Amino acid sequence: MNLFDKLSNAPFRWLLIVFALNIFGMVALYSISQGTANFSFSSRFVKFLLWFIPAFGAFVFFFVLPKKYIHEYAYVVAILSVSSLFFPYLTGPVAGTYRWVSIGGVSFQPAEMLKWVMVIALARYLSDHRLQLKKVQSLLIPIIAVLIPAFFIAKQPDLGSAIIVVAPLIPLLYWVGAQPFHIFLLLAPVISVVTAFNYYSFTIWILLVGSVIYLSRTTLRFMLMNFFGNISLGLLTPLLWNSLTSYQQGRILVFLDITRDPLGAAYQVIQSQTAIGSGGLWGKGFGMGTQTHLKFLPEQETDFIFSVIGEEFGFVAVVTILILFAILVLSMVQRAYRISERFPSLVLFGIATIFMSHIFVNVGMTVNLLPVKGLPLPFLSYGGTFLVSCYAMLGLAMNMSVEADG
Amino acid sequence: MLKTQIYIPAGRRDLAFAVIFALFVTLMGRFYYLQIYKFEQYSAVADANRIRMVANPAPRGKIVDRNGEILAANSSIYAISAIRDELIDEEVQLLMIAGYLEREEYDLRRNLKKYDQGRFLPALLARNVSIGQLSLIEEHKNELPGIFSTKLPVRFYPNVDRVSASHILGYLREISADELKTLAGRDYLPGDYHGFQGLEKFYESRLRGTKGVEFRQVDALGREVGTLPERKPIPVEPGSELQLTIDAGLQSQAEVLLEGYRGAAVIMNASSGGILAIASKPDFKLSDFSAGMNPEKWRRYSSDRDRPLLNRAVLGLYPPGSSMKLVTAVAAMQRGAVDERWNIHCTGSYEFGDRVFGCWRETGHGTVNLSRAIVESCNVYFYQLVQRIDINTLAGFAKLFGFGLPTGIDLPAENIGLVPNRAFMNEKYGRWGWAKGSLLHLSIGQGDILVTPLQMASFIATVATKGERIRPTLVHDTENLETVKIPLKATTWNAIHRMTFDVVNKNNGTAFDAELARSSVKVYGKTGTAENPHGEPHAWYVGFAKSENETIALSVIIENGGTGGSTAAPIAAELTKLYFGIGSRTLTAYP
Repeated sequence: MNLFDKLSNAPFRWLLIVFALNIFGMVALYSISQGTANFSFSSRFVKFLLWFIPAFGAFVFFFVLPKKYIHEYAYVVAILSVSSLFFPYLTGPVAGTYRWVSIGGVSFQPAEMLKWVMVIALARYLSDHRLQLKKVQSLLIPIIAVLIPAFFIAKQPDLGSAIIVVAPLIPLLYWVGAQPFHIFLLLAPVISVVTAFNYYSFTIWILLVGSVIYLSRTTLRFMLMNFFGNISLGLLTPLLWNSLTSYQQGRILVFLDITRDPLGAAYQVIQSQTAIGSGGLWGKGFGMGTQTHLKFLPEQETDFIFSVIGEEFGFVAVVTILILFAILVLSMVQRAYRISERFPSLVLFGIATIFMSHIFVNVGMTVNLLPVKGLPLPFLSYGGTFLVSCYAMLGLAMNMSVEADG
Repeated sequence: MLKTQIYIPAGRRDLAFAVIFALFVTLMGRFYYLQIYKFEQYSAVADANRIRMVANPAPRGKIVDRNGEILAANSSIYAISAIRDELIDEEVQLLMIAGYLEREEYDLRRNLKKYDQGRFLPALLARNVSIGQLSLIEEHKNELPGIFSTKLPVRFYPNVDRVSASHILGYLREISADELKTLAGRDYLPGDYHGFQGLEKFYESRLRGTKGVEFRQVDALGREVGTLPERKPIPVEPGSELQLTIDAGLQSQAEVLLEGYRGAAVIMNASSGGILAIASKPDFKLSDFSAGMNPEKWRRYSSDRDRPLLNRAVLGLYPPGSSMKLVTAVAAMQRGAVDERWNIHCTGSYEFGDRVFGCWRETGHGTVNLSRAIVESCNVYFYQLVQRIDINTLAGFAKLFGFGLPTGIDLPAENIGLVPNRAFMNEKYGRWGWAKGSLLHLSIGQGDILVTPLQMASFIATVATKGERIRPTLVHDTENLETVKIPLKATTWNAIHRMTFDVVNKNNGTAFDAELARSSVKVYGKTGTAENPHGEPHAWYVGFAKSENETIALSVIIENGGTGGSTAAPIAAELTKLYFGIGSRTLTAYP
């Protein structure tokens, strides 16, 4: 397939959607930086503009790169990317974390590109092997493959990115044909452990497990093993937890990023909700957001950029942006459905999952639907690595969505 | 592999669609709830949230002399600021304020734009508001929402009439837009003042302190309704006091003695490098700069042909004249080119090639050896002596004493002067363009060589300590006492000390002073008379004085002052007598 075919068949409206989102992001960023007396080349607005150069470079590269190379080198690149997670431990921490790698004055976060590198590797694994998807055991390799990098990313600590690395796994298994029931069984022990800390939630969950297992109509032995396995796991969890010393408990809570001082996070969410709520239908207008400009709103340029938009441009802008995102994600899924090759279809679906998780976790956080996790919003949040990564994913997605003829 | 096909049932896609759709609808629903259904409630919360962030400027650190006497302190002026968002009618309000303050509305409007930090933060409208004008504004406070008064600290010089020290203290200036950019991240805001010259600039970070921020809760009309317990104010950290090595009494006397001249005087402690007085005349009044410069005064200062804004002590470049003979003598002695027996006959002039080089005493000195040549400052002796060494040897010794190099004084700018060597002369005049005659000029401190009065003081302090070249400082810093050891033969040092002692203490010396010769303080020196194209020669004196427990080094220059012995030496003598209390003189307790 030549480049001309690729150009004529690629969904260029995705690029238009992304440009529209970028404009919203730049307007919000400009509003924030406005009035700060030193508006210069060191300002975030200008810095962000400069990041578009490498971002477009990454887009073009991943759009043009032939699919067979992407497939062929998927594992090598994945192994190299996972190893790059250890670089920061050699060069020392930046701001107390091990997220950043600096090469020649440019720093970037390896975890950012690992998100889609892992999707490509998973897609290759799931397309190369005729999996016996009915067997739970055959799912073990992909699960371990994502949990290893996720563990090290969570240790950086960057729990948000770790979640995003794991997030595409279940959707990809679903897309390739795993039984919903098997996916349910896979998730069940995790939910049992989490719900075990509350009497009511655990009771409801166990009733749900019971009924799903009953309706699945497998062998009696299998049904009983699963049902009682989950119950005993749930009952043992609080006992195990209480047998830990408070120091050990603290270490686990820190690892899971559940802070013992929820006031800090609660304050951020209250201010974000106030910003959004007071924006109303049409917003307060450009540069007029009191929550934003009086610095009530935390992390304005990055995690809470959507709150700035909600305050200054209102519900109308919020819905416009969400619709743009929905069109982007839905049409990626539609392309993944239409395409007949297995590998590109899985990569496309995986990238759609990454975008969707970012959007839902970030936007959900600003309106207190989800706990605060530091995840940026694609194409809107300030952040160089993330912008480059998003454009790389867009290039990949557009590349994958063109059918190779013959 | 790549060709592996996939078949996805439409149902599987539809379930994915449904999940994505549901997630987006959940988000939109939540926004609908917050922004449309709960709009009134959150609007009220946001309005109540309005805080006014008021920056409190930090008082700048005081500058005091070695005895703790104040040279620069702070007082405050009143200023009027506006928060744009809280103004009801900008046009009318600015007109009202212009009326109360008796200023142009145009200026207020320009300031509002210039000092804008965003519509929710105060912008400075007017500085230097009098108490009367302030009370008018306060009276009409209800008609002027969003307008409030603040106090701004300004420099105050309580003793400006007795001791000026204007060049070394330096002054503050409003930060410019360009400086804001280069100082980004250092917490400067438009309208801030910062050290622009002198010590105020050099020690800016120490003097400046840290601004405080207060958070005051205001209602939607901008009326203060209280402080915010959850937003802790950031306390003001005043700048640190700066104690100088300057002795205000001596500084004051140096300025008095230089009055009416164009010139400079530097007096430093030869062993610690601490500068006791450093004066440059004519100078300017720092109080003229403290609360914003009046353009008329500025024009007067900057167009004055006597250049009162120039700190002659560190930036003025002069030929060193005969004082340089000390360096020539040192170079010759170190190279073994001369001893006490070698003498010449001075007839008042010396023929070299096709040119005649004169001595200052036209009748001649007669038979002259090295001691007499220094004591009576005979030029002809040095014309002949210097031919026994070469230009690079002379330049090398001049550099050894710090000429042509920065002294490292704690001021933002100093001139390093110029010490010509062979490479320089070839570069300037061409390989064959300069003759050995230039070397003759250099031997007596004329020609291309240029030095500052501070370098001269540092040089003679090095002579006083027999080779401990210390960095001169205005703020004593025990941790950074930098000394360069100059290894000369003990006989060289002793000879130089003996000769410079005779200059002041023998009645044929060019700087003979009977009172000093009688006193217990041992005084050493050398005069200089530097020919220059701008009229009368510049008068130089460099020297040092030793009491039982202290050695001070001095340099004095009077531009176009005639001979060093007649103008510069008497000033230095008077300063030495004042400092050591010779002949019942005292530096009256200051102030």
